[in-house]
Amino acid sequence: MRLVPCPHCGPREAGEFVCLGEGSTHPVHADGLADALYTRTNAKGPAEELWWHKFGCRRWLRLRRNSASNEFLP
Amino acid sequence: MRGYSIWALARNALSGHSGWPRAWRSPAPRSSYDVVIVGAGGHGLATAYYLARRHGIRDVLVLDKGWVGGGNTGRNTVTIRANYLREESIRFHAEGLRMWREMSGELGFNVMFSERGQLDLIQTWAKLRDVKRRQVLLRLAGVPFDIVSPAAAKALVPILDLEGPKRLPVLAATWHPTAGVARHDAVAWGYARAADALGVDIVQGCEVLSIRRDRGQVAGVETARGFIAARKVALAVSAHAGDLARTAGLRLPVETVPLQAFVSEPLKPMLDCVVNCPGQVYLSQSDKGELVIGGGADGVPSYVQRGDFATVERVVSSLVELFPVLGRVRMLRQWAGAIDLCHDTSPIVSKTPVDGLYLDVGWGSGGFKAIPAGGAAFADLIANDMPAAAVAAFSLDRFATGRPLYETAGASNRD
Repeated sequence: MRLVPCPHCGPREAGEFVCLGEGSTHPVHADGLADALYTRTNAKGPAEELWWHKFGCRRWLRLRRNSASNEFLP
Repeated sequence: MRGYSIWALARNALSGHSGWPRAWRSPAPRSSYDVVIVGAGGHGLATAYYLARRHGIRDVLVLDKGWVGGGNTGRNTVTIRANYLREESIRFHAEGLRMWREMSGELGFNVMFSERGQLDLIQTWAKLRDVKRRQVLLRLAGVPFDIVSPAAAKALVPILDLEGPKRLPVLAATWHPTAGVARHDAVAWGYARAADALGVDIVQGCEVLSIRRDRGQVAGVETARGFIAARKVALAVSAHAGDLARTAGLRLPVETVPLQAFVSEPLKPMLDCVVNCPGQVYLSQSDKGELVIGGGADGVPSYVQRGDFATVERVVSSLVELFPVLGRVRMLRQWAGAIDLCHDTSPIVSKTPVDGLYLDVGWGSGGFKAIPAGGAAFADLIANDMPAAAVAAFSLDRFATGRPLYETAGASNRD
């Protein structure tokens, strides 16, 4: 099983997490709503993502991962 | 192009099969074309074929960084069906089914389309409500689709096990008799050969690095073999649609996700239709006897064509629970295709804010079945610069205008 590096709990099994994908927790203006909800940079390579440690500390995490290799980056 | 026939087979058998001509040419790309299509998969090649056949546009180049049919056309699980939810999707795929039935004759290439029906096992009340709604809409569109009892499902698929306590008992099933399967490589090869015979150039092993635009108008593509000018550029790619569109200054509403498939060792004939347990597992048996097995898309976006182990576990546990007879079957291969998913799991066949740049992307888990109807509609869009009625709902701006087309019938839908 793949390990996800939770900054609070240490490396834990991927099954404990939900990948929330690309996105930000900043407020969005109504004009940019469709863009914020649906449009993705979808980069092949390193990118920052939101993860949720659902079956662990239950916190939202901001993690860097390389989508071309699935490796988590520091 | 010389047609394939029993006479050609006999003639070539006598000469030791040394006289078969190449199925398509391998030309060097010229410096300029009317239309450049990126991606020589089923969609790109079908689009080129229909541009030449129906619209008389033969100054067409199809580029691929790999080889003909080497992407998701060669990686999918070949299920062809029309049992969708939305009226627009149903009409589109019903037309697709009609085209599949005639494809071998039209292309002069046996694509081995086999109309064998699809059985969906319904294991949750939410899914049962969904298929009841789909049944009404499918009947209105004239697509045969019936809700049947678990006993009737067992009669259709004797290897199905309904006895004993199950994690998810089978509540009902649906039967879609006009669904089928086809030989995926033959579809790509058949369209490539037919398009080539009409004068389309197919260039393999030539990656498109970026799209060049001249202010609001597309100018051509930058490739590994230099710049190629084009009046119109059409993207028929999976996984890299976002990266390519970005070079033209566009951001797309797609996310790249792995979709896995598995093939077992060859077995004696035991399954004569497609069986699908929505969101869990689906399978059919190939003519060679291998079970072709798929599941839902992975939960983590990725470009890696390998897939997540959590999905393997979900697929296999469902498979073994419903078909315990397969518990000791060995798998020959496992792989993933990188699919482009929109949030509503409907595709994008659309013009873009850049004049002369067209998109046929985001087919998610349902691109293979859409090859003939998608190719025909995309060719129509490129030729007329206006979307045909069949794909008007698949527009790029549907999210911004508040008209997303949420689907529940894709392999990537989970509920």
